[in-house]
Amino acid sequence: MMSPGVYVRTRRYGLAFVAVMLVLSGSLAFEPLFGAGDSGLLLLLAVAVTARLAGRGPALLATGLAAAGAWMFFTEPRYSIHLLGQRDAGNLLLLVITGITVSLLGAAGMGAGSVADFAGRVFPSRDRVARFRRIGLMACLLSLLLAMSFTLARDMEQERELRTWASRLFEVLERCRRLTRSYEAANTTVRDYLLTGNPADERRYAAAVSAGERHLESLLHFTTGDLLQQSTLEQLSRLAAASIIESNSVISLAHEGRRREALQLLTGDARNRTMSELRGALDAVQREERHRLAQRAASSRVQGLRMRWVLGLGSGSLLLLLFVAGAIIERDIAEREATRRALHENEERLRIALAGANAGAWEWDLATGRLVWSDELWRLYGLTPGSQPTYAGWLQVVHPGDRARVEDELSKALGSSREFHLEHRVVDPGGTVRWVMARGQPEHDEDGIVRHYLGIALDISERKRTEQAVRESEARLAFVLQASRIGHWEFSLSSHKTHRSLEHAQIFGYSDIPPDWALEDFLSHVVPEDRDTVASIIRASMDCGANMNFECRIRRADGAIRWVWVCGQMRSNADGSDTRLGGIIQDITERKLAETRIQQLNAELEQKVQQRTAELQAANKELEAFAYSVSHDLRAPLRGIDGWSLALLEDYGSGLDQRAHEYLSRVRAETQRLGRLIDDLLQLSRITRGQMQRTVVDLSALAEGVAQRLLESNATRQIEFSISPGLTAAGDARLLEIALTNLLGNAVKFTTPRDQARIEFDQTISGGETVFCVRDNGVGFDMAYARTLFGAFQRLHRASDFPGTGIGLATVSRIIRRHGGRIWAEAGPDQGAAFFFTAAPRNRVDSNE
Amino acid sequence: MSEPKSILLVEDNPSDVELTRRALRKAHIANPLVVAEDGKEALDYLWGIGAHAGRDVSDLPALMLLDLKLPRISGLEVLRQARADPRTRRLPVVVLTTSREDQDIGAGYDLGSNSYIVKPVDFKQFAGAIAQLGLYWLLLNEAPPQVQPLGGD
Repeated sequence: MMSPGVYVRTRRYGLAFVAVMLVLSGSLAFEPLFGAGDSGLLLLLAVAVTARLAGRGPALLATGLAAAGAWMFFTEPRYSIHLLGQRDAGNLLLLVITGITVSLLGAAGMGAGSVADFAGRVFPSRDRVARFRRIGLMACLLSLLLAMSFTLARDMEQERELRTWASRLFEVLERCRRLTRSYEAANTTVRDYLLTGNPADERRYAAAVSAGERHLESLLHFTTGDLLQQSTLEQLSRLAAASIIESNSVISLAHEGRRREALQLLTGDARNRTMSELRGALDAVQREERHRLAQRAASSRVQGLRMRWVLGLGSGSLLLLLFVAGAIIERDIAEREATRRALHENEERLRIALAGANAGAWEWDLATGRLVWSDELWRLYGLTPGSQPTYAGWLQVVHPGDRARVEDELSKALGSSREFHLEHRVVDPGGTVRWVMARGQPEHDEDGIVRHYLGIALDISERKRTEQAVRESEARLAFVLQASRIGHWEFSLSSHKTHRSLEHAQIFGYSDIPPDWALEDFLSHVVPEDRDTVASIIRASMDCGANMNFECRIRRADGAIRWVWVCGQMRSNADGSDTRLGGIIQDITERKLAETRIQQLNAELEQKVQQRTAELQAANKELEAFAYSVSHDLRAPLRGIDGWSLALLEDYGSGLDQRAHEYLSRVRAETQRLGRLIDDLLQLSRITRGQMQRTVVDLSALAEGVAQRLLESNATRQIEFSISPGLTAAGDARLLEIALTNLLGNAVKFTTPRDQARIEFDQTISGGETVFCVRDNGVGFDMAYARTLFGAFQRLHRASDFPGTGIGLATVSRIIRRHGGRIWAEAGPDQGAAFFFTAAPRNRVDSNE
Repeated sequence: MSEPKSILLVEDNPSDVELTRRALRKAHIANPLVVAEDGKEALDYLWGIGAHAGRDVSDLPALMLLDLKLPRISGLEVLRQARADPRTRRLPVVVLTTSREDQDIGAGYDLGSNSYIVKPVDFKQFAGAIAQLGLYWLLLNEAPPQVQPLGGD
């Protein structure tokens, strides 16, 4: 199969060939009738037609073909390609130039170039185009056949004429030869008679003369109408008459016996001249006839050439036209086939569409009341196909609530022979309710009377459900917007119409929706200070389709200034049409006021916090100064008391009795206890104030170190430490060491009564949290007092039993809290004690820190 | 020079001064003890100005025991000024104080203190510390070379 482009090109260039070949064969064929003078014009016409119908390219090809044809057929010598004479070359050049001009001008006015297009412009209907094409083809074929038959007829005529001419020539030649022979015989017999005097010779002479006259007579008769030959023959007869007179004179002289004179006359110059003139005239007649035959033969040869070319070109054109006709017929058949297939496909598609849409088709004969239902329709009504459907049966499946309405609408439509459109519910025998849409259309017969209805019915339950869902969704949205006092608006960029809800109008201070509301109305409500900003935001949103979201102040219809929040977005239909800017608007004045109040309160709060922080910082500074004084100023006198007591003992100890010594020892012990108390307090305050340096701390290693020191300072006791290896925590190593020192130190202290002290340090995982535990088998304590355990200066044992400052656990608690952890204890009197702590915040940093 | 070099004790508490003197005596340290009761007096003594005008400045103490909490000019300030002056730049200084505060300890070393001793409450321990100080700084430690008066070193 050719591609369409190749097909069109072939057709267009084929047209150039056909047009030029038609003109050439026509011109040649009818040349004997009309001559070849107008062939140039006809060729240009072919070029023009080609340009008009097929465009520039084919027209230029036609010009080339026309030039070649003209060169070949219409320049001398014809039917061959050869060097041209000056005049012919000029004419040919003129033809080529005109042809090119016609091609360009003719094609300039046309868009696409095809016969069908041109025909399509001339004849509006497709059928007429086809008819035009068929008639054109037939005309071309007929004219070609006519031209060829005419040429053939002409050629046969020519042949016949040529044959006539040839036979006439032979006739003339034969008679001339006989005539010559008669004249020669007469001449010879005269001489013989003169020599012999034999009377037989005289008789022969008379016979030759009469034969010569007879032959001349028949020659004259044969060439009747041929003036040239007649005049030559007349001259011949005159010469012949002169010759006979001379011969007769010779014979009469011989009769008289004047033989010598007779012989003289017979052989004299005059006699010789007469004879040679006679022969010359006979030759002229023969030459003329031969010349004429040669002319006829040449003319016949030219005719033969022309005929061959006409037949050749004509057959070529015929073949091309037949090919075109064949192609057209083939295409027509293909089109008809395509139409048939398309029709079939359409039918198939319609069937599939009906089936796909769950649609059933029906037909209703009004006269007989006969109904025809498709299988789908039966299924649609939940019925089994097969039995004869009836109107009553159909009415039975219609939902009772819709029956009256359906009947009413149907009778109205039938009464006025209109088409109808029903939407109703059906209840199938199973009790399922479905929505069905039925459409019916009246079919008119030739008389315009409606005999029956055609229609379809389809299940629209899904659509009804969707509609219901959309309605509910809209109602919900409307309720939400109304309840939250949010106004809705939508502005169409194409129609410049604005849709607004009542809330929208109320926000702007109107009691109902004003009819006309444009963007400008909105902007005029915006206070002048905000207007430019708002306008530029809306413009930007419209330009680039971005969402917009802004707050601005508006002046309501009643003059009140309110804050509004506007949120909008650009929306279009799925095909990109009807672009709309739509969104919501809400009065946020109360919120704005609240925000302002909150901001003020925040500012005040911030100020208060700063004030409190400053006060706290001052208090902290004071505390630090106090602690510094404690460390420095309170301890100096203690050292003095201790120092001088010792000095007293050393320098005057010999003069003091035992009791004085004991008193001084007590003074020194109390002094040192107070010193330790001060040191512990200072440590406690340092723990609170110092900077934390968090690293991953190896608690096991720390505990081992502490235990080692405790074992060294309690070398007399039996203490067993059990420290789990690999315990780590993130924290400050120095602080954690202090905590462990206190906890393990306490354990050592409160296991003093035990012969075998046992102290454990390990960890458990509880609730995803690592809990460390220091456990001993010491004296324990009553859990009733556990609440005060971690307060400073709180002691659960008498100093005489277990010496201590009551600051250790307070210090531990504070260290743990600084790490965000918690500490608690479990114990019972004489049942040992367990201290649990975590070293990291559970969820968030402890608010105490 | 038969006379041993002096020890300059900068201390405002008379009781501590006497206890220090006693501790030195107990440790058999015979160097004369010069007492300055505040920072100003200490600097006056070192530079031979004010109340100590005319003192031979080249006769530097062998050791300065410096308390930090002092009237008028604090101990840390005395240390800073002494270190800033070429004549006293190399003077061995031991901070002897009751402050165990990290910031004091850090500042003391930053300003060029040679040692930092916290005074214990227990006098026996205090006396022991003084004895060791004297032993170390006056006998074991090699004193810094004399700084030329015109700063020619």
